[in-house]
Amino acid sequence: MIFEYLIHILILVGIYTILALSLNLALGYSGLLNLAHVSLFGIGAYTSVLLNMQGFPFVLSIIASGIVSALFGFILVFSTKKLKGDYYALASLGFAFVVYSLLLNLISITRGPLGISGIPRPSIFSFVINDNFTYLIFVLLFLLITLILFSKVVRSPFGKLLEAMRDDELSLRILGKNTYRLKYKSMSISAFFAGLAGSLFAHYIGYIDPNMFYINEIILIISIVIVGGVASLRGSVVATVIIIFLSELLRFIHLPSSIVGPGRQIIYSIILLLILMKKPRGLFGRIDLE
Amino acid sequence: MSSLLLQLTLNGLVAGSIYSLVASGFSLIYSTNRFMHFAHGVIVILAGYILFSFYSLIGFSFYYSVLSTLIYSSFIGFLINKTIYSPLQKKKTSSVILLIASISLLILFQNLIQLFFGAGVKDIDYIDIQKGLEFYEATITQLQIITIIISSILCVGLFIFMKKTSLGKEMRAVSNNKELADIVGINSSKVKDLSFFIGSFLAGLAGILISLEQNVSPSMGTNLIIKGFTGAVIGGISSVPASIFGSYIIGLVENLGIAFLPSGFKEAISFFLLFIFLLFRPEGLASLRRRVK
Amino acid sequence: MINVKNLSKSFGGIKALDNVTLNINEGKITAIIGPNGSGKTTLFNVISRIIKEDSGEVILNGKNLCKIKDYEASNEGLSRTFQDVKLFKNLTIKDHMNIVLRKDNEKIMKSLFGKKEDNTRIIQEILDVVGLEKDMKTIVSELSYGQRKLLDFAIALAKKHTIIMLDEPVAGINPALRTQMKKTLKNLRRKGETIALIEHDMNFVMGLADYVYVLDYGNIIAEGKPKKIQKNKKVLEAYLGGGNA
Repeated sequence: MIFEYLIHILILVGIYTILALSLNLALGYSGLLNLAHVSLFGIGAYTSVLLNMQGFPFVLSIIASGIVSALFGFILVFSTKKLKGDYYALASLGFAFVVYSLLLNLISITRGPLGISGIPRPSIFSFVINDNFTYLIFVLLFLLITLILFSKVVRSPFGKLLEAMRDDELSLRILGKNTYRLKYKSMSISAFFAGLAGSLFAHYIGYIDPNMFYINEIILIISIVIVGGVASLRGSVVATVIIIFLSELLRFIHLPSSIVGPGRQIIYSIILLLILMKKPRGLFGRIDLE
Repeated sequence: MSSLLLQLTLNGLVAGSIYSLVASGFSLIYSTNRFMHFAHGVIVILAGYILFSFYSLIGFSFYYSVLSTLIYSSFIGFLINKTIYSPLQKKKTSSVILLIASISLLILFQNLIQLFFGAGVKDIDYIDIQKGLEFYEATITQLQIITIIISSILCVGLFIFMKKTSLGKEMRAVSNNKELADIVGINSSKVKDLSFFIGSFLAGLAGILISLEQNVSPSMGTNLIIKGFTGAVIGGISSVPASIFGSYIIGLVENLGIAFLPSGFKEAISFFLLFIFLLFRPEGLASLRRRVK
Repeated sequence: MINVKNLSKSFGGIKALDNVTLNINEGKITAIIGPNGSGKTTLFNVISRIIKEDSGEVILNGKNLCKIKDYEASNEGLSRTFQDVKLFKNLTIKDHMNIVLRKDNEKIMKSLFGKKEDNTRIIQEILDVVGLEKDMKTIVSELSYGQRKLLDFAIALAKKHTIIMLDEPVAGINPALRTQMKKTLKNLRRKGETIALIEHDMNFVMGLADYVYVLDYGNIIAEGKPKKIQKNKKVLEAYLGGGNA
């Protein structure tokens, strides 16, 4: 019983780690305080689910989820590229609200607040990933690919450009680099993986609705990235493990769901506030958020 | 058809009145402190629930409950600043971190409330059945009229306070140029505390009015701060009068928009306007006036 | 070379540049001096396209920069430093130099899978030229103000350029470093570099510049060889008496 539950938590940890890593690429390494990351997660989820349940094979659906999210990421950067700091963050928050509204109101497509249930498990070349242990391996595979790719990006000359852009965008432009293009590239990668994570999430949980990709989730993801440490891949991994385990602990103690729901959010927000006040660099962070 | 428009306009004015109470406080705090205090929504939630607790649960008299709520609201806003924002500002953290901190506070309180009171809507039975008054071909309730009146009085009052009184002038000085204000001898810390007191008072009032109108639920604070914030951005976030103006615009656009779009899109209209304004005119409509001059 | 023709720029009601015409000639060191607030940095900002002019033209090596963005101007051959040194505080000296030395770093694929050139030798050479004696693995936040200015200069040199614009390169720097900088600039001129220099300190400029422009309240009030400028009454007035706006 405990083993089953552990597998469940680890699957969530795996998915959220991919999500946190992708946000860290945008926020920690490129300086894009993207409060709409959760929307990209949701768009990936909905894309994958809608395509898959229309008959498209899972492999195509998950790739599409990455691509569609990347497209929305592109739109986000395109509309906000001239904004700085606060205003960028707020515009991205506004973007998140708009996406939420769309998911909620385009009922004919998304079934609105009712959500979509009965999402099938992934079926790859007629092999269906029904049991959770196999799903865990599946997720860990994606996580491994994500980690390897991101490590390479971060250490590459391109990665250094992103960090420079984060530290002082104008200076980088004066050195002859087109920072708009850098933002597009960085955000596209970040969004693509957020979308993938969304697909993995939806096909595991089996049910999605717009509220799962709204303000509460924004806080969770931001907490993970900040607690782990901005611009630290290792930090994102560790923080996801800690935070997800902590919040799932509540369910483990068999508290009623009316307490677990708000309880989790309380834990995330308190952790985030504590870190912001006491150790804003987080556990492994090397830099300060500007 | 025109009666529908009239009704929607009245509804829009009522909504605008509530939003402007939230937006004016938010704008006051932003212009004096230079960061976005999203946790302003916390005051709105708490006000509703404190009123509920005092009046419906414990049974104090209505006016005592309202007064207490307002006093507590002002204090809680002040405390939030003292315990969370001030220490962070002393460490010279960026306004982005303050923004994240304030959003965390909002989520924290919303969920604490949900934990203690449950997620359902709670009834404040002060006004039983609202018999609407006939106004040409539209109806408006007494409470709604009072809301509009109170909001207008307070907004005008706030405006006079800022323009005429010496404290108000000090606040404007700090918001225009903090360094200069310090040099001239204005106690900017006192001014900042005052901005939180006044702003939170207004938010508390908004919370009370909306709970009487629609009863309390944990998410109302978040909804209202988003609307108030949108109104402030559209009007001009650093100007209290502009924020009030923007809030009425949001209230009207939201409600009149229903005439043309399915009602589910009511929220989407505000969000969409918010996004567009943040993109193209983050300084708000107020900046247009300055350019024309 | 750079030709600036009738350049004007106002901020609000204040004319920062008023019909300025000047030339930065090849292989020469041209100095732009003037009291605080005379518009020198604004001039550099307009030339490097950080700000757009209200009227007038900026021509770089025959090309009109009117429609060009800041990073494009940089790629057309402009290298510049800043008065308040802006660098990437979390990156190392080596990182900074590699950003301008590596050509394909904007391309993800090449950056991930291509061969990473080792620029250590070139980097050390340039650091030696400017006189920055710090391990190249040092993070910029650990450098002193003077060292950061030297790095800013080194980066401007390392980047492919046809002209270097230095904004107050020796402000706030000790005398020993100043003398070293003067020597470095003379060496660069000998090698054929084109240099534009904003400076406050008249002494630094004398004995270094080939030609001097004097700005005051956005206007060029005098221009010519350094010795002539030193004796110019208008210039003396501007520096001594003119500060009362």
